[in-house]
Amino acid sequence: MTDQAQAAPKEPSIVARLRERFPDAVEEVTNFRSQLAIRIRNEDIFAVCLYLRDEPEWRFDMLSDLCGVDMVKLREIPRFDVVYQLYSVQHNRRLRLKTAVDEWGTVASVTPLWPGGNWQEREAYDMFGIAFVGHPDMRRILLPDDWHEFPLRKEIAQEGDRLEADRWLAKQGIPIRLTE
Amino acid sequence: MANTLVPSGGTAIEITDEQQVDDIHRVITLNMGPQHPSTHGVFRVVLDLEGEIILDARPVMGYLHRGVEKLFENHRYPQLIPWTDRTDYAAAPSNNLAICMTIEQICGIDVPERAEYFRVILAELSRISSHLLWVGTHALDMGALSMVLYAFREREMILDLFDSFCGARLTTNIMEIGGFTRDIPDGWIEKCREFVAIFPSRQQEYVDLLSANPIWLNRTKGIGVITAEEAIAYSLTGPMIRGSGVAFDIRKAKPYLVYDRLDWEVPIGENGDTYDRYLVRMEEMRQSLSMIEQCLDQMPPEGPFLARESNYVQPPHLASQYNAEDMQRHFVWTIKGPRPPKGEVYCATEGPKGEIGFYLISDGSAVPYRLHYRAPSFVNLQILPKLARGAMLADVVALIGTIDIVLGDVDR
Repeated sequence: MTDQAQAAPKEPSIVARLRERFPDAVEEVTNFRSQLAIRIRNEDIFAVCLYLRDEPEWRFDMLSDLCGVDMVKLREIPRFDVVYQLYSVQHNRRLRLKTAVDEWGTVASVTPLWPGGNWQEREAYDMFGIAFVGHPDMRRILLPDDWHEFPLRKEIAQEGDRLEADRWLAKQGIPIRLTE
Repeated sequence: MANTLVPSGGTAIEITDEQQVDDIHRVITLNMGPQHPSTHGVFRVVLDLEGEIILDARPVMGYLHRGVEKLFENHRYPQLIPWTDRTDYAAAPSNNLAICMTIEQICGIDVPERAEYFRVILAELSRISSHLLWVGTHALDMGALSMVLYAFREREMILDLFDSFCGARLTTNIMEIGGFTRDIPDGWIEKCREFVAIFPSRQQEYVDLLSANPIWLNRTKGIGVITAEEAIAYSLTGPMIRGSGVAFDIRKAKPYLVYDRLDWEVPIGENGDTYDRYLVRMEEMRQSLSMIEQCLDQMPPEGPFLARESNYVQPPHLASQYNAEDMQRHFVWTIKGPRPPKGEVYCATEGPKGEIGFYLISDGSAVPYRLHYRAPSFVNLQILPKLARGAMLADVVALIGTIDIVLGDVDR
């Protein structure tokens, strides 16, 4: 996808403005099927979201969707991505932000900015074990509170024993840890 | 200050002496659900009560969690469509449409015009059927027992239409990647027109029953008020945000299929209360009916119903039943499945309950690397604790009803 981003004739103005305002924050810009996705450095995600929400030029006032992604099969480290789908009701515009999180790492919660992110962040924690710092109620949401694993991690097999997944992980040299 | 109570994280609530049980206040914790007829499934709310006033509400969910996102990662793309039936099972064709459009978007498939019209017809029929289920059960929750019988009478007509097209009433699996593999059966269009002709008079019956009913007005007006700013901040979509006066509808904001060729309006509410959301959904049914009628008129009677066969679109069904080579081709395609290019898309469509979003990451293999389902019921339900704080205990069923949840969609 990086190749496509480089092949794009010119960067959209929102990326230029972000680079200008947060010089080190923008790590990667992709444009696939005319959907813009900007990868933001983990430390800057809250500041960038605050800027995008409040700046009259952008006004991304709605957090449409938030989800985690286990990137273990696609890259070495960091382990996870958190993906934000922002929407501006005023300008009728969508934008996708991504940020990388280490295994057992943390990322700033955006619930203080958009209350609608509350349960979606809890779901990302429930499924992947990504901890959101600043979240008012960081608990599991769909699974029981005492559940012992994070089911959407790639090492958790869908059913049966875990042999195949374990063998695959051993081949990749990834240690198997099921609980915190 | 003695008569003021500050619940955790909420605003202060004035209580009068009459509502106090003793000299000191008493807070009762009450479990509502999971087996409760008005929670529309297995949903539980833990309520902190001071008399009849709710101090705090803590929703507990996940009783119906089947892990569809894990299942998505272990099934080939055509096998994903039946799984979406089982999320929001009150409006399965809308979910089928959302997943098909997502896969078509990442593969870059253009769907024939006739199939696009027919998809709009099915999506709008499922919207009416979902709203009928909502109006019936919502009224049932508030004590209007007869409403559900009338609503289900018309819903049955829609389910019969689904049944005669695809052979299932609820778990429809009605679309394929690239269009439809079955053609419209003889007499289907006439039956659909019959429904379009009958429905307005039937809807008038609901209006006569509810719109001026003093009990209904007292139970819904001024209950669960959401301002436009709150609706946007809480990521509400569908009738929930339109009831608060925000004209956000993805069919207008970013028209897909043939919605831009149809003449229709987005109904919005004024006060953002339960009654306004009722009006919005009633008007949406009228708009949907008008859209179905326009589609039936505009749809070309003949023409392709499935995109051209390719790596992504399956070979025609019919030939495979008469011809060995065609059957092999079909078999190989089904076993191998399409392999979309590497990339990612987020595809949002307007379902009956709000924005149905699928975020798909493809690594070029036959199964999705990650497919996230943004469930409208789940996101909309977040505002329940806020609405419940300070409300009466009896209003909880009205609030759950007005959000219009399906627990298969909340828990996934």
